[in-house]
Amino acid sequence: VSTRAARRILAFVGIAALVALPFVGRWLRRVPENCCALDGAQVEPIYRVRFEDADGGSQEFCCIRCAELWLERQPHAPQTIFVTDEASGEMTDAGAAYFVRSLVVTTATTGNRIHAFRNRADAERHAQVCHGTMLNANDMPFAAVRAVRAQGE
Amino acid sequence: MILNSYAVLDGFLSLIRVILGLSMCWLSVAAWRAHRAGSTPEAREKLEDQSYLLFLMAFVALGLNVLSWPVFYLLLQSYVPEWPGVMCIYGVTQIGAGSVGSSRFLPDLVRLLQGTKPLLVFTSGAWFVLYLLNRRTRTAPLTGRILLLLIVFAALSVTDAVAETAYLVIPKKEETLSVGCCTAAFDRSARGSRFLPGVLVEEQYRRWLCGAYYAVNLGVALALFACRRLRQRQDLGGWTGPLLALLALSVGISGLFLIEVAAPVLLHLPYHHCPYDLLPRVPESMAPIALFVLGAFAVGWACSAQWGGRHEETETYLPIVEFNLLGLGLFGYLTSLFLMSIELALA
Repeated sequence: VSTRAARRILAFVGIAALVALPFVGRWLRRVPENCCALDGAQVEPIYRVRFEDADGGSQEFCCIRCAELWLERQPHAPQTIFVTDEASGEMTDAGAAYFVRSLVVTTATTGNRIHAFRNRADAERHAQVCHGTMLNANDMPFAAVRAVRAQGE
Repeated sequence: MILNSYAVLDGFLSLIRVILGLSMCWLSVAAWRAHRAGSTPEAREKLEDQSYLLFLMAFVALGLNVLSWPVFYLLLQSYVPEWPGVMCIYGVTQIGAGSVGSSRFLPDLVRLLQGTKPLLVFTSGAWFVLYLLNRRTRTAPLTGRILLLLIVFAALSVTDAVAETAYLVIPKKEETLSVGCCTAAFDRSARGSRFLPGVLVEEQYRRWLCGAYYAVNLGVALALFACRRLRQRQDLGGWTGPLLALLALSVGISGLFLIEVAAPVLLHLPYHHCPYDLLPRVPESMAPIALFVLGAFAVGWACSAQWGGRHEETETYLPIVEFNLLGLGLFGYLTSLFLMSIELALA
């Protein structure tokens, strides 16, 4: 093989490898990761927030702050918002939950300090132990969504 | 100091670059003085003897400088798991901000290094192009310019390597982020792009930014094609100014496109605009970015050859060098555009 032909073969192989890169990358990442819909961070089950739309679609978030940032950009509010009760680890409707802002950061990457609880007693206990404040109706996360819903009802 | 394999590699590279850079500084200043001082045969012979070692060192430094650029980002990426509040390189670049100890210098050092790395690679390349031109001449008329550029190249190399060594050595363990990682910086409406016209950055107008990205980059490719054709017949002369202006526009628009459009699409996160996240999550997207940088640098090198390489002895070889560099630029721009389009389509 002459030098010129070898160069051509090398150039062809190089370009083919470049073109194949996006396909290979996509194939390697074919299994979707369980990550936050806003910033792609790993979702800790204890702080998980989930939105469910009327069409059956859903998004998961690593913390309340990410969920609020997502909501700011949505033209329509989701049908249901679930937050995780930190005491039991179970999901509960955000409309019936109690929220506490305390010194404990739930997700270091976002600096979120708002905690969700199903029972008022658990929320008050967390507020007492972790120097927190119970959030009132105006300060609560997803307040705008709740206000819209209340008007509708 | 956080010790891992990348830190060891980066430290080793930096150490060699400091030694090489200092030696190059000293030798190139001495060679430049010798070049200015004498035109006697003895002086020229002495200069020639010095130049062999100097240029050999410059070649090694050039290779190491190019290598140190990706190694630096791999080092930053390897530091991500060290802090709980950090999820990408952006978070690492903020470590030390607001502290009072020696760690307060870390963010400035990273900013400096993110600027000096591309500048160093560009300067090294510009020197190499002039060196190639000079080698083809009979009396080496570009030696003075090459030595001057080599002094700048060596000084930059030392600055970069010293800053990198300082970054490696300064303690980082006790510092934590107080404001969160890239979500706080790139995803809020308060991010830097707010200073730009809404027609470029607001979500409903993204298609205009896409259009601008393709139009400007295809425009640069077309201009490069035209300049190549033109270079076969005449001097580039007055075309370098408009070409560089178009290049600067393409760099700006492409950077904005990467943050506002490409990053959210490639990451499958519609509101996450962090370009640093692309390195660990979509590593293949580094290929179009690297090709774009290659294309832009090649055009810059062609312009520097036009400005620094003009002499009656280079008249025959300069057009060939410029023609090839413009071709490299054209290849970089077109393949970058093509690969980015494939990746966006697949995402």
